[in-house]
Amino acid sequence: MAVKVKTEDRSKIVETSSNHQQFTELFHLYKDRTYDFALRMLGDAHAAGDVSQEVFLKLYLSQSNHDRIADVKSWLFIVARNLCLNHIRNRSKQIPLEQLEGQLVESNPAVDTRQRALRLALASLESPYREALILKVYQGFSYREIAEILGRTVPSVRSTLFKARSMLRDKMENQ
Amino acid sequence: MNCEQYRELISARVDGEIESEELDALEAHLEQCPECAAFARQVKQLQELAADSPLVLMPSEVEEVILSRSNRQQSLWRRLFSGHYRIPRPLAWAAALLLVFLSVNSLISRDGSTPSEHFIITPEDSQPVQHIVLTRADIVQTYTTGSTPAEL
Repeated sequence: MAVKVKTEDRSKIVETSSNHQQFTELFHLYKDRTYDFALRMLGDAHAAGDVSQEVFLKLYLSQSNHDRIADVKSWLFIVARNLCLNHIRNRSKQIPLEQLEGQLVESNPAVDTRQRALRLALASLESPYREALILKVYQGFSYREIAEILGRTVPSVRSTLFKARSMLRDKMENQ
Repeated sequence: MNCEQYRELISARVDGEIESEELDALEAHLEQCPECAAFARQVKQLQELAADSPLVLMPSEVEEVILSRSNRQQSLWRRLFSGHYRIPRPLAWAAALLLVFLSVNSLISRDGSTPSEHFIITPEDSQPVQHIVLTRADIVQTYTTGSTPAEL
Protein backbone atom coordinates (compact mmCIF):
# COMPACT_ATOMS: atom_id res chain seq x y z
CA MET A 1 0.00 0.00 0.00
CA ALA A 2 1.49 3.31 -1.02
CA VAL A 3 1.91 6.10 1.45
CA LYS A 4 -0.63 8.77 0.68
CA VAL A 5 -0.13 12.41 1.45
CA LYS A 6 -3.06 13.91 3.24
CA THR A 7 -4.48 16.77 1.29
CA GLU A 8 -5.77 18.46 4.40
CA ASP A 9 -2.35 19.36 5.67
CA ARG A 10 -3.00 20.54 9.17
CA SER A 11 0.56 21.62 9.63
CA LYS A 12 0.44 24.78 7.51
CA ILE A 13 1.27 27.99 9.31
CA VAL A 14 1.60 26.56 12.74
CA GLU A 15 2.46 29.00 15.44
CA THR A 16 5.00 27.01 17.36
CA SER A 17 4.25 28.67 20.64
CA SER A 18 1.73 25.89 20.88
CA ASN A 19 1.57 23.71 23.91
CA HIS A 20 2.61 20.20 24.68
CA GLN A 21 -0.69 18.83 23.46
CA GLN A 22 -0.09 20.26 20.01
CA PHE A 23 3.33 18.66 19.93
CA THR A 24 1.75 15.32 20.79
CA GLU A 25 -0.77 15.70 17.97
CA LEU A 26 1.95 16.48 15.44
CA PHE A 27 4.01 13.60 16.74
CA HIS A 28 1.21 11.10 16.23
CA LEU A 29 0.46 12.58 12.80
CA TYR A 30 4.00 12.27 11.44
CA LYS A 31 5.87 9.73 13.57
CA ASP A 32 5.46 6.76 11.22
CA ARG A 33 6.31 8.67 8.06
CA THR A 34 9.38 10.19 9.69
CA TYR A 35 10.54 6.80 10.93
CA ASP A 36 9.82 5.14 7.57
CA PHE A 37 11.86 7.81 5.78
CA ALA A 38 14.81 7.45 8.16
CA LEU A 39 14.70 3.66 7.93
CA ARG A 40 14.72 3.68 4.13
CA MET A 41 17.49 6.29 4.09
CA LEU A 42 19.71 4.50 6.61
CA GLY A 43 18.59 0.89 6.33
CA ASP A 44 19.20 0.57 10.05
CA ALA A 45 16.31 0.32 12.48
CA HIS A 46 18.37 1.45 15.47
CA ALA A 47 19.75 4.50 13.64
CA ALA A 48 16.28 5.32 12.30
CA GLY A 49 15.00 5.32 15.88
CA ASP A 50 17.79 7.67 16.96
CA VAL A 51 17.12 10.04 14.06
CA SER A 52 13.39 10.04 14.81
CA GLN A 53 14.09 10.92 18.43
CA GLU A 54 16.31 13.84 17.40
CA VAL A 55 13.79 15.11 14.88
CA PHE A 56 10.94 15.27 17.37
CA LEU A 57 13.12 16.65 20.15
CA LYS A 58 14.10 19.48 17.80
CA LEU A 59 10.45 20.05 17.01
CA TYR A 60 9.62 20.21 20.70
CA LEU A 61 12.44 22.68 21.41
CA SER A 62 11.44 24.83 18.43
CA GLN A 63 7.94 25.04 19.79
CA SER A 64 9.24 25.93 23.25
CA ASN A 65 11.46 28.64 21.75
CA HIS A 66 8.48 30.11 19.88
CA ASP A 67 10.18 29.52 16.51
CA ARG A 68 7.81 30.00 13.64
CA ILE A 69 7.58 27.08 11.23
CA ALA A 70 5.57 27.69 8.07
CA ASP A 71 5.10 24.03 7.15
CA VAL A 72 5.72 21.46 9.86
CA LYS A 73 5.62 18.49 7.48
CA SER A 74 8.37 19.87 5.23
CA TRP A 75 10.32 21.04 8.27
CA LEU A 76 10.27 17.55 9.78
CA PHE A 77 11.59 15.98 6.59
CA ILE A 78 14.27 18.64 6.13
CA VAL A 79 15.52 17.95 9.65
CA ALA A 80 15.23 14.18 9.23
CA ARG A 81 17.07 14.29 5.93
CA ASN A 82 19.92 16.39 7.38
CA LEU A 83 20.24 14.07 10.36
CA CYS A 84 20.29 11.04 8.08
CA LEU A 85 23.01 12.56 5.90
CA ASN A 86 25.04 13.40 9.02
CA HIS A 87 24.59 9.85 10.21
CA ILE A 88 25.73 8.45 6.86
CA ARG A 89 28.77 10.75 6.86
CA ASN A 90 29.72 9.84 10.41
CA ARG A 91 29.22 6.13 9.99
CA SER A 92 32.61 4.60 10.51
CA LYS A 93 31.98 2.06 7.79
CA GLN A 94 29.21 1.29 5.37
CA ILE A 95 26.79 -1.35 6.57
CA PRO A 96 26.90 -4.35 4.24
CA LEU A 97 23.87 -4.46 1.98
CA GLU A 98 22.95 -7.93 3.21
CA GLN A 99 22.78 -6.59 6.76
CA LEU A 100 20.63 -3.67 5.64
CA GLU A 101 18.36 -6.07 3.88
CA GLY A 102 18.08 -8.19 7.01
CA GLN A 103 17.03 -5.18 9.09
CA LEU A 104 14.47 -4.09 6.57
CA VAL A 105 13.03 -7.57 6.26
CA GLU A 106 12.85 -7.78 10.02
CA SER A 107 10.76 -4.60 9.97
CA ASN A 108 8.47 -6.03 7.29
CA PRO A 109 8.39 -9.81 7.35
CA ALA A 110 5.74 -9.90 4.65
CA VAL A 111 7.90 -8.51 1.83
CA ASP A 112 8.40 -10.85 -1.10
CA THR A 113 11.47 -11.50 -3.21
CA ARG A 114 10.81 -8.65 -5.62
CA GLN A 115 10.30 -6.25 -2.78
CA ARG A 116 13.56 -7.37 -1.21
CA ALA A 117 15.36 -6.86 -4.52
CA LEU A 118 13.90 -3.37 -4.78
CA ARG A 119 14.95 -2.48 -1.23
CA LEU A 120 18.43 -3.78 -1.88
CA ALA A 121 18.73 -1.80 -5.10
CA LEU A 122 17.39 1.32 -3.40
CA ALA A 123 19.83 0.96 -0.50
CA SER A 124 22.73 0.76 -2.96
CA LEU A 125 21.90 4.10 -4.63
CA GLU A 126 23.85 7.21 -3.74
CA SER A 127 22.13 9.44 -1.18
CA PRO A 128 20.95 12.17 -3.60
CA TYR A 129 19.11 9.60 -5.72
CA ARG A 130 17.88 7.51 -2.84
CA GLU A 131 16.42 10.45 -0.91
CA ALA A 132 14.62 11.80 -3.99
CA LEU A 133 13.09 8.40 -4.76
CA ILE A 134 12.02 7.79 -1.16
CA LEU A 135 10.40 11.21 -0.91
CA LYS A 136 8.52 10.72 -4.18
CA VAL A 137 7.70 7.02 -4.32
CA TYR A 138 7.29 6.09 -0.66
CA GLN A 139 6.33 9.43 0.88
CA GLY A 140 4.28 10.81 -1.98
CA PHE A 141 5.65 14.35 -1.97
CA SER A 142 5.20 16.56 -5.03
CA TYR A 143 8.19 17.80 -7.01
CA ARG A 144 7.73 21.24 -5.47
CA GLU A 145 7.76 19.82 -1.95
CA ILE A 146 10.79 17.65 -2.69
CA ALA A 147 12.59 20.67 -4.11
CA GLU A 148 11.88 22.54 -0.88
CA ILE A 149 13.06 19.67 1.32
CA LEU A 150 16.22 19.04 -0.68
CA GLY A 151 16.95 22.71 -1.37
CA ARG A 152 16.89 22.25 -5.14
CA THR A 153 14.86 23.40 -8.09
CA VAL A 154 11.90 21.49 -9.51
CA PRO A 155 13.70 20.70 -12.83
CA SER A 156 16.63 19.37 -10.82
CA VAL A 157 14.30 17.10 -8.84
CA ARG A 158 12.71 15.85 -12.03
CA SER A 159 16.09 15.08 -13.58
CA THR A 160 17.36 13.40 -10.38
CA LEU A 161 14.31 11.16 -10.21
CA PHE A 162 14.76 10.11 -13.82
CA LYS A 163 18.40 9.20 -13.21
CA ALA A 164 17.50 7.42 -9.97
CA ARG A 165 14.91 5.29 -11.77
CA SER A 166 17.34 4.46 -14.54
CA MET A 167 19.94 3.31 -12.01
CA LEU A 168 17.34 1.40 -10.03
CA ARG A 169 16.18 -0.41 -13.13
CA ASP A 170 19.76 -1.34 -14.05
CA LYS A 171 20.45 -2.66 -10.56
CA MET A 172 17.25 -4.68 -10.53
CA GLU A 173 18.14 -6.22 -13.89
CA ASN A 174 21.62 -7.13 -12.70
CA GLN A 175 20.46 -8.87 -9.54
CA MET B 1 14.22 15.87 -28.14
CA ASN B 2 16.36 12.76 -27.83
CA CYS B 3 15.51 9.44 -26.13
CA GLU B 4 17.09 10.48 -22.81
CA GLN B 5 14.88 13.55 -22.66
CA TYR B 6 11.84 11.45 -23.48
CA ARG B 7 12.78 9.03 -20.68
CA GLU B 8 12.85 11.92 -18.27
CA LEU B 9 9.30 12.63 -19.40
CA ILE B 10 8.40 8.97 -18.77
CA SER B 11 9.64 9.36 -15.19
CA ALA B 12 7.67 12.59 -14.79
CA ARG B 13 4.56 10.88 -16.20
CA VAL B 14 4.78 8.12 -13.60
CA ASP B 15 4.96 10.83 -10.94
CA GLY B 16 1.98 12.69 -12.40
CA GLU B 17 4.13 15.77 -13.01
CA ILE B 18 4.01 16.16 -16.77
CA GLU B 19 2.50 18.97 -18.84
CA SER B 20 -0.19 18.09 -21.40
CA GLU B 21 1.90 19.15 -24.40
CA GLU B 22 4.83 17.08 -23.06
CA LEU B 23 2.50 14.12 -22.70
CA ASP B 24 1.33 14.40 -26.28
CA ALA B 25 4.92 14.50 -27.53
CA LEU B 26 5.88 11.55 -25.35
CA GLU B 27 3.03 9.35 -26.50
CA ALA B 28 3.88 10.08 -30.11
CA HIS B 29 7.49 9.12 -29.46
CA LEU B 30 6.61 5.89 -27.62
CA GLU B 31 4.69 4.66 -30.64
CA GLN B 32 7.86 4.81 -32.69
CA CYS B 33 10.57 3.93 -30.16
CA PRO B 34 10.45 0.36 -28.72
CA GLU B 35 13.43 1.02 -26.38
CA CYS B 36 11.73 3.94 -24.70
CA ALA B 37 8.45 1.99 -24.61
CA ALA B 38 10.28 -0.84 -22.79
CA PHE B 39 11.77 1.68 -20.37
CA ALA B 40 8.29 3.05 -19.73
CA ARG B 41 6.98 -0.43 -18.88
CA GLN B 42 9.88 -1.14 -16.54
CA VAL B 43 9.51 2.17 -14.74
CA LYS B 44 5.81 1.54 -14.32
CA GLN B 45 6.48 -1.91 -12.86
CA LEU B 46 9.00 -0.49 -10.41
CA GLN B 47 6.52 2.16 -9.37
CA GLU B 48 3.82 -0.44 -8.75
CA LEU B 49 6.22 -2.61 -6.79
CA ALA B 50 7.26 0.30 -4.58
CA ALA B 51 3.65 1.33 -4.12
CA ASP B 52 2.94 -2.12 -2.65
CA SER B 53 5.55 -1.62 0.05
CA PRO B 54 3.82 -0.90 3.34
CA LEU B 55 4.69 2.05 5.54
CA VAL B 56 7.09 0.93 8.25
CA LEU B 57 5.56 1.97 11.56
CA MET B 58 7.62 3.50 14.31
CA PRO B 59 8.33 0.85 16.96
CA SER B 60 6.44 1.43 20.20
CA GLU B 61 9.65 1.56 22.25
CA VAL B 62 10.96 4.46 20.12
CA GLU B 63 7.61 6.18 20.47
CA GLU B 64 7.71 5.83 24.26
CA VAL B 65 11.25 7.23 24.46
CA ILE B 66 10.30 10.31 22.41
CA LEU B 67 7.18 11.03 24.43
CA SER B 68 8.96 10.56 27.76
CA ARG B 69 11.79 12.86 26.63
CA SER B 70 9.33 15.53 25.58
CA ASN B 71 7.56 15.19 28.92
CA ARG B 72 10.84 15.71 30.74
CA GLN B 73 11.51 18.80 28.66
CA GLN B 74 8.23 20.21 29.79
CA SER B 75 9.76 21.57 32.99
CA LEU B 76 7.99 23.84 35.45
CA TRP B 77 9.55 26.86 33.78
CA ARG B 78 8.19 25.84 30.40
CA ARG B 79 4.79 25.12 31.86
CA LEU B 80 4.73 28.58 33.37
CA PHE B 81 5.96 30.51 30.37
CA SER B 82 5.22 28.39 27.33
CA GLY B 83 2.54 25.95 28.18
CA HIS B 84 -0.89 25.59 29.61
CA TYR B 85 -0.26 27.84 32.61
CA ARG B 86 1.42 30.53 30.59
CA ILE B 87 1.72 33.93 32.28
CA PRO B 88 0.89 36.77 29.87
CA ARG B 89 4.03 38.64 28.92
CA PRO B 90 2.76 42.13 29.98
CA LEU B 91 1.88 40.73 33.39
CA ALA B 92 5.33 39.20 33.75
CA TRP B 93 6.94 42.54 32.88
CA ALA B 94 4.71 44.40 35.31
CA ALA B 95 5.64 41.96 38.09
CA ALA B 96 9.34 42.37 37.32
CA LEU B 97 9.11 46.19 37.37
CA LEU B 98 7.16 46.10 40.64
CA LEU B 99 9.85 43.93 42.19
CA VAL B 100 12.59 46.34 41.12
CA PHE B 101 10.60 49.32 42.43
CA LEU B 102 10.04 47.69 45.82
CA SER B 103 13.70 46.75 46.08
CA VAL B 104 14.86 50.32 45.43
CA ASN B 105 12.19 51.77 47.69
CA SER B 106 13.25 49.57 50.59
CA LEU B 107 16.72 51.13 50.44
CA ILE B 108 15.32 54.65 50.96
CA SER B 109 14.09 55.58 54.44
CA ARG B 110 10.82 57.31 55.08
CA ASP B 111 12.47 60.75 55.69
CA GLY B 112 13.98 60.62 52.27
CA SER B 113 17.53 59.88 53.34
CA THR B 114 19.43 57.18 51.57
CA PRO B 115 20.88 54.27 53.52
CA SER B 116 24.40 55.68 53.27
CA GLU B 117 23.34 58.85 55.16
CA HIS B 118 22.64 56.77 58.27
CA PHE B 119 26.26 55.79 58.46
CA ILE B 120 27.96 59.22 58.08
CA ILE B 121 30.38 59.72 60.99
CA THR B 122 30.34 63.24 62.41
CA PRO B 123 33.39 64.85 64.13
CA GLU B 124 31.75 64.24 67.51
CA ASP B 125 31.50 60.56 66.78
CA SER B 126 35.12 60.31 65.90
CA GLN B 127 36.64 60.74 69.36
CA PRO B 128 39.61 58.55 70.15
CA VAL B 129 38.63 55.26 71.64
CA GLN B 130 40.47 55.85 74.90
CA HIS B 131 38.17 58.83 75.75
CA ILE B 132 35.17 56.60 76.07
CA VAL B 133 36.80 53.81 78.00
CA LEU B 134 35.57 54.02 81.55
CA THR B 135 37.81 53.06 84.37
CA ARG B 136 36.50 51.09 87.34
CA ALA B 137 36.73 54.28 89.41
CA ASP B 138 34.53 56.15 86.90
CA ILE B 139 31.85 53.51 87.17
CA VAL B 140 31.92 53.60 90.95
CA GLN B 141 31.71 57.40 90.81
CA THR B 142 28.75 57.27 88.47
CA TYR B 143 26.79 54.88 90.66
CA THR B 144 27.57 56.61 93.96
CA THR B 145 27.39 60.29 93.03
CA GLY B 146 25.27 60.27 89.90
CA SER B 147 27.87 62.39 88.05
CA THR B 148 29.74 61.34 84.95
CA PRO B 149 33.46 61.48 84.41
CA ALA B 150 34.65 64.86 83.20
CA GLU B 151 35.86 63.56 79.90
CA LEU B 152 32.40 62.30 78.98
